[in-house]
Amino acid sequence: MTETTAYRTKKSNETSSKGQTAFYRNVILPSKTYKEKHKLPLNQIKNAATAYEQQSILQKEDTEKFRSSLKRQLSIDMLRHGYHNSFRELCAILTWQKEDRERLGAEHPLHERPLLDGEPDKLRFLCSHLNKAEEAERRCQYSNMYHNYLELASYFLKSDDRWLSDSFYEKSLSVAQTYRQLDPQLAAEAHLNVGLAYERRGDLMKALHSFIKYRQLSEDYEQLKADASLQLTRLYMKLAERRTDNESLQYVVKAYEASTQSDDKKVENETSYKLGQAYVEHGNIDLALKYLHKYYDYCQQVNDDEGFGQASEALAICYQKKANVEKSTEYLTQYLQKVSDKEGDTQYARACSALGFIHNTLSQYDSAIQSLSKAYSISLANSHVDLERNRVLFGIAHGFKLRPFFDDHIDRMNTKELLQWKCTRHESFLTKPKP
Amino acid sequence: MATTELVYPLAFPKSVVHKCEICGKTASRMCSKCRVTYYCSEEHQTADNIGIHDKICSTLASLRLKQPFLPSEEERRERDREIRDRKIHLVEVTRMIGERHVFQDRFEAAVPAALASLKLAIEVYGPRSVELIPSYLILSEASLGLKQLNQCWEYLSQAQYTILQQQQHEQAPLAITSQLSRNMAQLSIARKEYDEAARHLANDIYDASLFYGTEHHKVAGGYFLLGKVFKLMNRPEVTESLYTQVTQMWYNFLRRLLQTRVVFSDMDAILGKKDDDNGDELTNSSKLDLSTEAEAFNTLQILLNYRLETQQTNPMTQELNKIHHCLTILYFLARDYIQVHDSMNKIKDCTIQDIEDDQQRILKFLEQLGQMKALMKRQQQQN
Repeated sequence: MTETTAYRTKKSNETSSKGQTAFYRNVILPSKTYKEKHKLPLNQIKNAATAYEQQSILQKEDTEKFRSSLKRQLSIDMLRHGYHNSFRELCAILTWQKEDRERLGAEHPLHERPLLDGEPDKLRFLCSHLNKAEEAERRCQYSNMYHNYLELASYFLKSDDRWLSDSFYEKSLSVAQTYRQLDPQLAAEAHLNVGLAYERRGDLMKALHSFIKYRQLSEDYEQLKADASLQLTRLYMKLAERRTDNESLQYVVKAYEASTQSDDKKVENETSYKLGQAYVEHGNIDLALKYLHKYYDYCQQVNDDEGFGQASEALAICYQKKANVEKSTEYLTQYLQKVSDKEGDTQYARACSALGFIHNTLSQYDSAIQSLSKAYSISLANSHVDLERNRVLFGIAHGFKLRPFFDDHIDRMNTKELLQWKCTRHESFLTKPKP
Repeated sequence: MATTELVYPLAFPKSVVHKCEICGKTASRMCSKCRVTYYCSEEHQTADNIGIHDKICSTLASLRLKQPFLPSEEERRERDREIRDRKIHLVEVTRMIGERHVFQDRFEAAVPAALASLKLAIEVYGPRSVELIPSYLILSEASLGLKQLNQCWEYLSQAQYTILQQQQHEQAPLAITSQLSRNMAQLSIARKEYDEAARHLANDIYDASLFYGTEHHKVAGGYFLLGKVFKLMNRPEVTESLYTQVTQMWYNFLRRLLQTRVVFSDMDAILGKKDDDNGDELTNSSKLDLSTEAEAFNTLQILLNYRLETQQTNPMTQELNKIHHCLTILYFLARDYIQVHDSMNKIKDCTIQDIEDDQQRILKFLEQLGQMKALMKRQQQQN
């Protein structure tokens, strides 16, 4: 059996260090060091008791908070206060997100954003507003409920969670629809929001339906009505851009109709301009003329120079297509006059190039060259966007001018002279009268 | 009791002390049929007999007998395994019997049954296993029914401690934690601590939703109790919305059951089989087991009373019709056909199309059943 004495028995030949007895070293010193190691600073010991008492007692629920995930905590809070619908909606949203991700496969870029589970701010916001909505529903304050859903939708729009914000817009719409008698204005607004959501997603047909409903519902409210017409106009133009040919023309017509119903003259006339252009594209010059004239007059009224320029150009082209030379030159010269005080301006360049284009088509190459040279020099000086266009037109004018002579030379098989001309490219070579 | 035999504690061998099944005191009586169950008094013996012993007497005899020595290790292992399996089976049987007693409000009979299941489970799984918890829950329900709140609290704490003692990575099955929370909530309600009860129910509903899905009928029990709590806390609007939800859940569940059941029966009617035995051949999902049935009955009755109470202030006839319809389906599935007609007649001004469809189906089925019965009678007469 091993010895189990309290202290170590000292071997007799061991000498004590520092003149201490064996007893002191073996018994007293170890116990002192033991105490030293575990002794707290004096003031802490004094305060320990009071500190302990001052510590707040954790309730059972607080301890549970440390043990559970945020989702669990929030759900339990919601359920405790009786908001079971909010709880079920939260569960549905989270499972929907997970299923969506699984459906899209593992490689989809959407996966890089964290799951809603992991974003505490969003979860908290979502839960608190769902609770408010449920409370409002219980008290039959449906406008409150609607506004809560709206807030949720805009919050998620800001944080770029389109899927959530779209679903909340649709919820607000359903609330507004079921309680339409109370406040039809909300229903109209709801349709607007849903329409915008569809547009953002790129689903233009559905957006169109929503906007049409918005328009219908806002019959009695002036401001909303105007807004509705504007939205409709915009959407029709978008649709027209997307589709081709016949359908696009119809859409532009509808856009114009919608714009007439709004009170905004500017939009109305811009739409009439676009309509005119569309008709020109489709070859229906007369109708085009009608609308373009409208735009022209409006621009004159409002002193919109750029618009005026556009209108004049368009009108000139139309008349030229109708082979009505005087009228087109008339419009163009008017345009020129109006902008002639701003010589170096882009407007002037455009005017000149338009004039030159008309002359080109009318085979008046000299005057064409004149105006086009002006346009070209201006746009060179300003490095304007239309530079390429002017360059090309200028070249075309020159080319057309020289063409008959060119043909002549070819007929006569005068290749030597042609070659010479090619070397120098000087006009006189070709236009020299032949013996 | 007829099957009792007096035994003398001093007559046993030195280390052998037989304890009473119920209370654990030294036993002086023995059941003479199985000869392995001991009791300390006549009351305990009758209580145990009514509760459970009647049904498991013979099984216990074979399980508790001293096993003879078997020469080979393999044979011993085989035998141990067999005994263990039988014990497990018996645990389930006793648990179900205990549950049935609880549903039929026979709490004194439930206690011996639950105790038996607990003892067997301890023998099989050990005293700290999670498998013991359902037995504890039955015991707690029984003691709650007998108004022994402290006893109930003890059992529930024991169950909760078992769960807490589990290793961190092994989460106890959510169904069990949800049931435990539900019972704790019932205890809190009995103790009038409504906030505690609400918290427990929140835990219960969360676990149950996670496990079964948010629209399952098992979660409806939690919602139902929560509604009761809010009613006691004087917040009727919450109760209203919760009870509506409960009604909806049971409604969906029962309608689904009805559809599977009636479809099945249609098929067999076409094939010319008898309808009465169909109930046993259905798959599990479309069966209505006893506990669910009892729960449904209780819940629907209370909901019905609630609706009738609030009808003066807030008439929701559609909700009332839904409840009546649920009851109709329940009676139908329990083959209580007289009640079916009674219940159907109570539905007035029903605007929900689904209810109309279901009623048509039920009536058609009953007709067919009647025809079948007439056919069978005629056949019998011919023979």
